Formats: sequence, structure tokens, C-alpha cells
Amino acid sequence: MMQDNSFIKFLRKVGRRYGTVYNLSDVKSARQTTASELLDVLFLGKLPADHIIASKIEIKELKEMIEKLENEVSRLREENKRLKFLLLLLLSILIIFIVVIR
Amino acid sequence: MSRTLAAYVRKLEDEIKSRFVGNYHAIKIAILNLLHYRSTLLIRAPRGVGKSTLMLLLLKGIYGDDYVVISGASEVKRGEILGRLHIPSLEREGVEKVIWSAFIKAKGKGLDEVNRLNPYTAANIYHMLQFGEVWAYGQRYQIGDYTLIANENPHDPTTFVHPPPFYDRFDVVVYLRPLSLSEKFQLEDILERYGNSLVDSMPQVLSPEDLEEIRDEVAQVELDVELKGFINLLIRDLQICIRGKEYSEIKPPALCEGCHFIREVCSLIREGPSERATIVLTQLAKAKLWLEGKVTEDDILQLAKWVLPHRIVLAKSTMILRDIDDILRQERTKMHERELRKQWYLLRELYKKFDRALYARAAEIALEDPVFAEELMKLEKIWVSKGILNKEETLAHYLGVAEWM
Repeated sequence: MMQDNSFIKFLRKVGRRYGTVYNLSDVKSARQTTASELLDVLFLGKLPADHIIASKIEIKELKEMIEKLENEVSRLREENKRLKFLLLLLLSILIIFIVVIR
Repeated sequence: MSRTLAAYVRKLEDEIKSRFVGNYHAIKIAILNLLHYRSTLLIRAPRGVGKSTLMLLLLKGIYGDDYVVISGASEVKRGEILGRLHIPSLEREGVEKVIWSAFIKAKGKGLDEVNRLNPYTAANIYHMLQFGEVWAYGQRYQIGDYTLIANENPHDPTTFVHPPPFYDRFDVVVYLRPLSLSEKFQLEDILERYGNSLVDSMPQVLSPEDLEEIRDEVAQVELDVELKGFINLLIRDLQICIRGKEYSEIKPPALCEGCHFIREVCSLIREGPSERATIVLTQLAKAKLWLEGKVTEDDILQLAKWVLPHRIVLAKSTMILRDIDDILRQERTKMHERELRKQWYLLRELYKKFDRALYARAAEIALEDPVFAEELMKLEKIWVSKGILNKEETLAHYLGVAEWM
């Protein structure tokens, strides 16, 4: 399959730098993780499959995600309060209604 | 490399620097760009920063007074830039004889305020910029080698918007900045020294014949295959899109929604550079090697700053030069990661023969590098056709890459 073009020459030359043995378990990887993977590691306690290198952009994105989540949580809490109040009101009306009918 | 010729080039740089204050990076890259065949340079700057002066200093330093400058104005017509019909021949003999313009015939060409030149007139020189020849009335004129230096102020209110292919034909674009406080004093000193005639005092340092010889030598310079690989990788990184953005109606960032490679450089680029970027970077690398005796990968990244800004459209851009800088910084990290992953060794082995363990590792790496993924997917196609691999277990299937790509 190997034809002798410049690309193959490039692969040969670069590949030669690493010798002739490639150890599958001994590969240094500078894996960039996504912000969601980083969140899994930080909050769910999942073990990272590889070293995690988080760039400044990722951290910034992570902070933005956390901020968004916090905003969402507070919005849901507010909504929850409103719904509770509404439910109580409805129950009170219902009870009054039942008492009045009797 | 001829030492005398290299010394001439350095002298040219010194003579220009002694008349042009600041912006030394621009002078350096402009000189380097002169050293390959059919060199084209675009100088961009706000008004009064010295773009026309730099253009004339460069032309005068090589061609003496034997160069032609066209001042960009909307009324400049085809006849002035390309050629016109010889009317007596047409009337008397019915023969279409073309009188080629002085601009076409000159080896040293200047286009002052190219943004004021109407796009229809500018379109006449596309072919010249690409192939070194022009056509008019079915006749061809072969120009061969030349130097074209143009300048423009993109914020000029009387400007025309030239289409991207026009700018793509300029090898390099340099941006000039206004002078700092100390540089203003320097300029006053220089003007006094040369009696306010910076261009007139510029000597002819090189002859067109010297330049031809230099260009012949530069063309014969052999670049290391690794450096060629670096250039090709850099440009491919800026072009690649597994969703085929070049033919898509939707462009990044909208096109990148849900894409596995959304965090890659590719998602920042709406329109990537053309293959001319690879060719120009290679020519500049050869010129640098010829002139300075060495060229490194860092040099390539530095040179790319002048090769890319007019060839790339970003998805979001506030200031193109700074954005390109950021992209090139990311590229430096990416190239380093590629080294650590030893991925090209893996690809070489997979080119030799299919090995499932190596393929699994390569597929894992490919998820972090779209250019590597592209090469691996090419191999997958061969393995699928030979029945070594199932279509469903391929990377292409996992990434949802269309069959035609």
C-alpha cells in the first residue's frame, strides 16, 4: 500500500524519530478535554481516562457553564416557590369551598 | 547561495531601513517575499503612514527608474492596465493588433491605492497574477517573471470592495502602523538627511538580472520533508471541515453545532485559506533558508502571520491580526501534541499493513485531530473495500462523515 510519494517520505522521516517499536500502553497523551468531561471529573468523581489538561479557555467556559447552571437553579427555585404558593392557595380555596357547601 | 547576492539583498534592506522609519517586520517580510518568482505584495495601512513610499523604495531599489506605477482610480480602464487595440491596423488591414500597456511590459509594477481601482479593471490582471501571462482580443502576452507591489487603505471612503480571489493572489500582506513618538523624531532626522526626497535618494541596489539569479537559486533550494509536512499540516488544519463547509450553505459557527471537533481550530474559521497559502509559505521558507541559512518551524508560524490574514474569513473576528495570532498559538500547541502522540508513526505502520490494536489507538487519536482523522478515514475506505473492516466500525461511521468526502 505504501507508494513512494512525498507524504510517505514525510511519514517515514517523522516516524523514524520514534524508533521501530510502538508501545500501545506507553503513549504520552496531552489530551484536551471538553468542559463537560472536566465537570464529570470534578463533580461526579469519575476518574479521568487520561491526564486532563485544561486550558484557560476551558476553565473560562467551565466557569460560564457553572454560572449558567447556578442561574438556572435559582430560577427553578423561584418557580418552585411560586408553584408552592399557588398550590397552597388552590388547596385553601378548595377547603373553603367544601366547608361552605356543607 | 551566492554570498554576493545575499549581501545585495541585505544592502537593499539596509538602504530601505535608512529611509523608512519603524515597521521593520514589514520591510523584512517584503524583502523576503521579493526573492521568489512572480512576487506580489500588498501593503495595507491608514493614510499617511508610508505605504506608497515603501512600495516605491522597494521598486526603486531593484529596478532603478525602470518600473511602472498605476495610480488606482475608478476611471483607469483596461487599455491602461492591460492593452488596447491598434486602430489603424484594424481599419486598414482588419487585423486585431494589441498594443500592450507599459504596465504589462514592465518587470517592476506598482499599483498605488489598489482599493480605488474599479474591480472590473482589476479583474484583467487576475490571470497575470496566477500564470504570468495576459490575454486580450484573443492574443497572449507572456510576461514571465515580475514584481508587483500594491498598496491600499481599506478604510478609505472611496474604496471598492475587491472579491477574495483578488486578494488571494497577493503572496503576502503587510500592515503598517503609525510611528511612535521616538520614531517621529527619527523620521524628521531622516527627512533632513535626504532633503525630503526619500524615494529620489534611494539607490538601485540590485539589478533585475541579479534578482532573476536570486530567484533561480531560491527555486532550487530543497526544503526538509518535515518542514514541508509542517507547512502542509498548518494549512490543512485551517482548511479542514468534516462537514464540508466549503460546499455547505450553512457556515461555522452554526454548521459546527453538535460536531465532535467543535473545539478545534476549524470551528473558528468560516472560509479557510486556499492552496496558494501553502505555495507561498513554501516559497518564503525557501527564501529564508537561502538568505539566512536556516528556517525553523517557529519561523513558519511567524511567516504565516503575513500569508493568512487576507486569505481567511473567521467565524467571529474583532481584529484579524490578533485573531490569527491566537490561532497560530493554538497551532503551536497542537503540533507539539502531535509529536507526543507519535501519531505519524502509527499512520506509517497502518499504511504498511492493517493491525487492529494500532488501528484502535489511531482511531482514538483521530478523535482529537481532524487532519489525522481524514488520513485514517482514507485508509478505512481501502480496508472496507477489501473486507478487512466493517463500515459500521469505522471512524467515518462514528463521526457521521458523508461518503463523498
